[in-house]
Amino acid sequence: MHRTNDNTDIDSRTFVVSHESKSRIPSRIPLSVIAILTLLLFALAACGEDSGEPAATATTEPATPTSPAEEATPAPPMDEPTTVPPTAKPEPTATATSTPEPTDRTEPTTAPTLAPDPTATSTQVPTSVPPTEAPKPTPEPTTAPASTATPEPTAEPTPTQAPDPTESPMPTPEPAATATATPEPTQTPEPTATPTPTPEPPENAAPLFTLPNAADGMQVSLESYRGDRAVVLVFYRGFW
Amino acid sequence: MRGDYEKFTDLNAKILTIAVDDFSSPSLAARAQGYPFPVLYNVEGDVARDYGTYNQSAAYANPHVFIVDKNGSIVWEQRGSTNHRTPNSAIIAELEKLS
Repeated sequence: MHRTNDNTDIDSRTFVVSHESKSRIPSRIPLSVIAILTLLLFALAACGEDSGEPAATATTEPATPTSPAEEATPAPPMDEPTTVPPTAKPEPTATATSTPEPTDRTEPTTAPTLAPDPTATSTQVPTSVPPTEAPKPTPEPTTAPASTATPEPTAEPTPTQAPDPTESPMPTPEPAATATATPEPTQTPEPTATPTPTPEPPENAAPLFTLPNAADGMQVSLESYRGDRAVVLVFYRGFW
Repeated sequence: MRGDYEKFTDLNAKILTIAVDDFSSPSLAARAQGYPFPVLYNVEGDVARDYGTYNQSAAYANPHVFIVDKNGSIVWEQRGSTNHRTPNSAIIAELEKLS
């Protein structure tokens, strides 16, 4: 009986001890960690909307890390993120800014990575931040499962958004070139209006003159030879 | 011109030479008396301008030849540069066409 009683006592002690340890564990795990887990779940849920895959992985993964700690703690974070994600897209950005205050190492690394993904996928893609964030979450067990799911959705928006700006400027110059080539209204039909047959050129009348003769000083007029003979007019002295 | 003067007269043509130089000077007047045809002079060069032969930069008439028929019309012309000289044979050939 004693043994049994002792055993029971021992069991009760152990139970008490374990019960105390249970009570201690939540005190050890800061609220910040819980908040981080919730944020991770939010992020996974938000990212899961784009890809669709991470929702299932996120729910299964947190079960493994909680086994060493205790079973009671993981329950509350598990239920919350599953219901929240559809309504909580704008919220994670605000919470992510407040999380870095706790001293845990995992929080600052994971928080900035998750914040840009759901809110502004289009603006943060060109900054090339995500490739550096992938190796960080691996070392710790609690945050590792959440972080492993994150890189998948981040990789997707980059290819979709990059081609959009490049393709848009290309088609614009083409219509301009086509528009300039078209305007050519040629008017050919009216050149045959004036044949100009009538204006007969007047006879090349020689300019009349009266000049003195160097030999005798007598005035000689061109017109005096008109009707009598042809006249050969020679300019330039050396020619004679 | 002086050597073929008879040919011109035979074709019933009158040769009139026009100079822009001042032939009123005794030296040039004496020289003009040696030619069988009249040497007319026009120092102002307005007649040469009327015929389009006046060389403005050199202030003399370029060696041009015109044939004016009995009606007073220019029927042939030979425009040359500064030292151009129209052969008498060409002028005589044109005169033969008119006669």
